[in-house]
Amino acid sequence: MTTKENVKRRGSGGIRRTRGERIGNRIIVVLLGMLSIVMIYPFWHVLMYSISDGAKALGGGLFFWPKGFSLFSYGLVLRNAQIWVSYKNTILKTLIGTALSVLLSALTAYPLSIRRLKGRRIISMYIFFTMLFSGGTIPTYLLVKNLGLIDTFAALILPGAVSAYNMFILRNYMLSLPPELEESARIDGARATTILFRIILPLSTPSLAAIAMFYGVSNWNSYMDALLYTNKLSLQTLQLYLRQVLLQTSSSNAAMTVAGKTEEYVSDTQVQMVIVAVSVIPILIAYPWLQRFYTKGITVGAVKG
Amino acid sequence: MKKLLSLLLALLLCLSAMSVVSAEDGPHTITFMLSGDNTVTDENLVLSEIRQRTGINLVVNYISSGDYQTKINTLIAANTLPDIFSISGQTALDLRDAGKLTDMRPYLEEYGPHILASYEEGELEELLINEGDAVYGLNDRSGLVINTFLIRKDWLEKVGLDNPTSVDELYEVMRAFTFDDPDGNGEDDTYGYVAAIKAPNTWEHVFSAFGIPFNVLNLLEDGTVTTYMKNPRYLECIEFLRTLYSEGILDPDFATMTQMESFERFWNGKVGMFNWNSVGSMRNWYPGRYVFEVPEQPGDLFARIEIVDDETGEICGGKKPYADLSSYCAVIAKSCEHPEDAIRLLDYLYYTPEGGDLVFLGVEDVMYRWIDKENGLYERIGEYADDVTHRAAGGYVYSAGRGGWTVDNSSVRTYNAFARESQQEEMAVARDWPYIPVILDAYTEYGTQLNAIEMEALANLIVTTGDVEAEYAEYIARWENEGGLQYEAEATQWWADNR
Amino acid sequence: MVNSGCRPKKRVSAWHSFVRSLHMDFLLYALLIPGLIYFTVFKYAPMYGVIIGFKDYNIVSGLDNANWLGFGIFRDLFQRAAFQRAFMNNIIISFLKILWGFPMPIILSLLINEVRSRAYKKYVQTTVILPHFISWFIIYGMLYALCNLSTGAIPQVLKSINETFGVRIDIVNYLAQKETFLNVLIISYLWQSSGYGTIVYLAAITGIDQQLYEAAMIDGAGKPRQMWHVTLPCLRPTIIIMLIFRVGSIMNAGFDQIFAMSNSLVISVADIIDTYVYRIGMEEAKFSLATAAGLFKSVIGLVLVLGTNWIAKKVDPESGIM
Repeated sequence: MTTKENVKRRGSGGIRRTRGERIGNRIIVVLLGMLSIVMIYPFWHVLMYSISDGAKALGGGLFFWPKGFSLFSYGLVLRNAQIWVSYKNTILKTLIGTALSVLLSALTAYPLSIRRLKGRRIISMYIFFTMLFSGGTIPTYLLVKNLGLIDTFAALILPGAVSAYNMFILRNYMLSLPPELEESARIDGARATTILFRIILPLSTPSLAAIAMFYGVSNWNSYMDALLYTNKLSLQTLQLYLRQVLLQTSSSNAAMTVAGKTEEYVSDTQVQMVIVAVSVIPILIAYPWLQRFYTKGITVGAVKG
Repeated sequence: MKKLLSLLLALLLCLSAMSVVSAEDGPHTITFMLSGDNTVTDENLVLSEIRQRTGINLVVNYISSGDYQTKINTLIAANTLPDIFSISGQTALDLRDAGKLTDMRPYLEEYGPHILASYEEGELEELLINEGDAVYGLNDRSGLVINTFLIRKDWLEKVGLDNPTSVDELYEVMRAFTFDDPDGNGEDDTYGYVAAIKAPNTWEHVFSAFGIPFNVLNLLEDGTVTTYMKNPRYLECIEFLRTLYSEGILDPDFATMTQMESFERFWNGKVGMFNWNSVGSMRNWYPGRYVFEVPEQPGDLFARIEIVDDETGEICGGKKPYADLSSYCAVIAKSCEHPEDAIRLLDYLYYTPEGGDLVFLGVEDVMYRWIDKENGLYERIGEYADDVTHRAAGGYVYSAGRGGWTVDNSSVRTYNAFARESQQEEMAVARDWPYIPVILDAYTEYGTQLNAIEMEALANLIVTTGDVEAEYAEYIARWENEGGLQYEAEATQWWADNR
Repeated sequence: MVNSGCRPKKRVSAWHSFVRSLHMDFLLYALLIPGLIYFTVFKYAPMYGVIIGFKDYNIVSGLDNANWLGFGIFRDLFQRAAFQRAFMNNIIISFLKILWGFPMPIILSLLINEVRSRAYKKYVQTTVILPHFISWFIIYGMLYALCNLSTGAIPQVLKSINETFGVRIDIVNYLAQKETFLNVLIISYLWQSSGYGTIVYLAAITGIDQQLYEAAMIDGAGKPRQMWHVTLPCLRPTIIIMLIFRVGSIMNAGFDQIFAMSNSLVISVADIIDTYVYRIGMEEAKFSLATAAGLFKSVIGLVLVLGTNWIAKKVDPESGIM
């Protein structure tokens, strides 16, 4: 079959690929299938271990299914009212923080992606420099303190609001969009903000989704900011709470007894597993939703006209 | 664009508005930064009971133990100290010298009578942080426990051997515990000895059996005070450990297993002897952590091992615990507006039995009830029998699990009989070592690195197939060159001058 | 011939009004303001902290009262044998991680992109990022469960192979052997981070103009050639920028991982600058030392970044950071 014919068939609607391609595709599917099992197993292991009977799980080995069944360790982590306070704080921090971060990154990335803008290299350099050098914990703490942010919710969001890394990823994506888009819109009299919000950002959804993911995960997992900038338990974040649970079970002060049942076995390994589950599952629920934004490729040409 | 900016500005304003700091009149507020790892709710029973009993509005900044140092260092650097906090080492002395701590002496008579009563004559002045008559810090003396070497009596019975009293007998028992199926399950799944590099306590008694105080300074015959690696019998002990390792008696994962895993081997019944302090094995974790059936009284299951040194005839006990005079002390910041209240608070919570019971056991007759107060028997009531609920309500939380800072604190008063007795017996045979109560410059500078070399040497010398003596000499040389010689010189000098 | 560029290059149209452009650019600069304020306030303002690395800093007496040591701390650090060992290990481990770890997410993304079923694609995409969320302490726990000699899965399998076939394969704990430890380190790193790394590349692939593929097909390019002549060239700016970032952090050999996995038997090959500084800095608040080490790492990173950026510009003037 000649390639021209091939294209013609495609053009007429039928999806036909060469034999080599079909085989290649099947190999890829199988390969990725195996890979995904390797990737998924440890998390599965964590889940199964976390609901196993503490004493039975101690023998170790592989966990395709739970060994025995007990939710005691979940109780240890979830029965305390404080976890809901910390969940609330972390969710708020993640939602507000991520929205602010993505917005600020987009505002910064867009001008830097416009080639004719004078000084964009110097500004890029100025921002990039902060990726390599930092003042360290104490000067940053002093800054936050002087801004009056200690023990405020804003302290959980502002100090890490923009990551140069994420900003550059977005800028690079915008750079890969055809410059004609911006130019022709400008010629038509559109203002820069209009171009950004109406044309560039809609076209950048895959990259926005990617950096939103990065920001979201780092907001969700961040630890040092909450530790240093807040004192009140009412501002405690999930990671701080979980850290306390973790250290508690591995110390001689472990909480061991439960009402009416005094000899339930708790291993710190199991509590670790519960902690992973409790902190990761919300992210896993959110991730497929973000994935929506990288559906199949965009046809830029269509937007141009 | 304007819209956007004003939106952003509004957002920022909202964020900062969410942080309203309320100023209170009435009772004085004392902020107390406390390290601990319990999940406690913001406002709880114990906290309000403390406030009610003392008339002080106590505000606790509760920091997990792993992060306490980071947080307090940052606060010191920013000069925003809480009223009461704990601090150790050189930083404590620097703070004192910079005039950032309150001298408690003028207040102690009136507001801290129990504090004064709990210290022996001159004891308070011995603390490094206290200068002359001035009292800047109070230490926690509740942590002074000695390690014991425990053996399972049922296993001894099963293999038909007696509690070992010499190194040779110890070896025989370890062998039998490995190969003679001491748990009777028909499987080769036990070890004679489990030790872990990440759990230094596990090596203590085996080294002690060779006359070596493990992991601390050793006093050599010529008066040199130096690393235990330079103890003349070190290689003898290494040879013993090498034998255990090569015959499969020592758990081969000793270099990788975590401290918790080494404990779990004991709870799981994979090893029949273990080096531990009595609080861990016999009190808090008994019987909850044991996977196999255990008798009600730990004394029915365990016995202490007492090895007698062939050479000297002495009983080889655990390392003698010293109250570390440079360790954590509670201090009151100079910036504290009501030092008398701060002292009153400390006095009540950590130096009176009622206060100790409150922070350790909770609110009496609500959270717990005494069964036999004389003998330390109590029970927790209703929902507070549940640890999580108990701690959420503040039980256990503000005491670092010890119930007071006095030698006879709530925790000690509620020990079970076996824990109490084995503490006393072991203390009587404790192995002394040259404890140096000051902070040596060389230790500050090189201490942790030197310790890392010691651990690297221990692990590698046990498994190496090369020339043990040559490798030993290399590690000694490395230790000496990486600041060890300076440390040794300073320690020896101090010892010669002061003892 | 297949068109190997992402877009045809066009000159900026000449007729646009100068006044209007000035107006436009004013708005563009205005857009930059919030970001620049952020970086200036939260990143640059505290940067005076780097002088801690040159002073005998003490948290109690503060920065102003500390004596200048110049490069004294650096000299002290470089002279220590343990630091030199950590430095060498750092370079070896980083190099291996870049060598194996950098191409992996790209390959993985290209493969995932070839999957036609959307549900399956989504499934694979979700699963590959999972390991990223598991802390190194837990990953170590799992590796330990696989490798430990008393209950570990691998030694038990090897033991039964030895017994069944009468062979003698050495049974060792891979986590406690100098010879095998680096392999475990790199493999677990690849497993943990490759999937998360695909997020950026997949986003970039999604952004490729579909017309380019159509054009390539008309030119008769099969799937492999489309990958080579369309996808990869369009990914080039992303790959280059990711490489520059990676090279900039070359001195970060992975503190969390090594801190969790190292032990006394392998420390001679596993100790890196960060673990070393953490260890000696823990005893007292040795901020000067930690800052000096951090600064040293940053300067090396900066030099390498400028070098990489320069090379990238030579190859493709459109790419790079600056």
